[in-house]
Amino acid sequence: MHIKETIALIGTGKNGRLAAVSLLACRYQLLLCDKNIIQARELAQELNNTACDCVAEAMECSFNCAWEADIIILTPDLEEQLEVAGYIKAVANQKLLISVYDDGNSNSGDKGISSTQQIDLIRDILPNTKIALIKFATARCDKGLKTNAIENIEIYSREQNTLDTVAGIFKNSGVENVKKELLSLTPNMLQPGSSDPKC
Amino acid sequence: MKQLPLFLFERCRITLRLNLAKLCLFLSGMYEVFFKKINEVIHLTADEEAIFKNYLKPKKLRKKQFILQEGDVCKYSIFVEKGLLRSYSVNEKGNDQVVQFALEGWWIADLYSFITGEPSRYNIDALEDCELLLINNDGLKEVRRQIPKFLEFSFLQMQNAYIALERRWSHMVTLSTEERYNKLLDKYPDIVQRVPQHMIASYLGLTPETLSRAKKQMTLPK
Repeated sequence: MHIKETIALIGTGKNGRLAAVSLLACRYQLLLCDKNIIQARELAQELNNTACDCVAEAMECSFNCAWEADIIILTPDLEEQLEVAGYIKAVANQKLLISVYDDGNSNSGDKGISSTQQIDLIRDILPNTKIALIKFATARCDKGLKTNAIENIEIYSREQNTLDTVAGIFKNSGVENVKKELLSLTPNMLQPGSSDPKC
Repeated sequence: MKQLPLFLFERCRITLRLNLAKLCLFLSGMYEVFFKKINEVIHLTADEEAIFKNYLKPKKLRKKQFILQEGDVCKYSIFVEKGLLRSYSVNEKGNDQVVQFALEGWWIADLYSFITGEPSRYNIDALEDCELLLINNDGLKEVRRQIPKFLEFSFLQMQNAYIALERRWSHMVTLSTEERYNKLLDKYPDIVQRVPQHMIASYLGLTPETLSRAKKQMTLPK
């Protein structure tokens, strides 16, 4: 028997929906949080109506949501992710945080931020949190709640354990192509604004 | 080579400042019982408390939710900041056998599984909504390395765990049903008030009917 872990999914927009879809087959308790609580409730209801193993619930406060969770997934644009990271800092300690990386999101000014830079920006705020980045490389959210909408996930982290854990979560959930990449830890890269070998 | 947009740094700075007050409020309450208990034994400085916090995982648990299930490895030593937990095993007849309750200020874990990494034979679930602080073995080692006086606390904790275990075993074999119940009532009235009677009976190694009869006997005039 294995414990049912709790995932806080913060943001229920396009990326939040994709993250929820990618976790459909997993036996998790899913706490959905969004500034637009109606949207969060609708997604929770949609997930609960789907024959899936996870149980979803909408919550209004990201702090309480993250406090209750074992795993936190941040899905809004980077600017908002950083804001939420600051807000949940006290309760994200020693937890696993998955940040969704969206290089195609130009509205928020994410354009130009590399995956390593995004990880380091979040890690500056949450130094005691295990951080991984995911990118829905080939995904369509117009298919409704079907796992096969996610065809390919890329995962980045600076820690091997974190990388393996996150890859395990998505593989167990039925995502077939999970590509993982361990980002190197050099002193130069730890400086904000330093050169990024991935660029 | 790409430059990070300035707005992001500015935004981070403002966000952190705005949230500082809120965080301080939450932080003080979140670790209140924890540091109170530790400081009863060893005195930690503010810096040492800050080091300790780095290794603690705050976790809320709802009533009836599990923090450990039989077959899983017990990865954390659990401190109860608020609420009530129960540790129990399930026997071959499918009955729960309560091993331990943990109230505010108590630690709970399957020590055998926590130390050896073997799968646990116990379940730990919440009897009330809980606020917990979890620390894993690596975290404990790191705290002991960085705060050597914490070793003294760890030693006392182990000592107390052994004494409690020994006392519980001796009560089971030497005391009558009424005496066992009275001991529990005297020492831990909160447990008797907050825990359902069938769980108290299981903890005392009785059936609920036997406990009910014993309680009736105790109320009769002698």
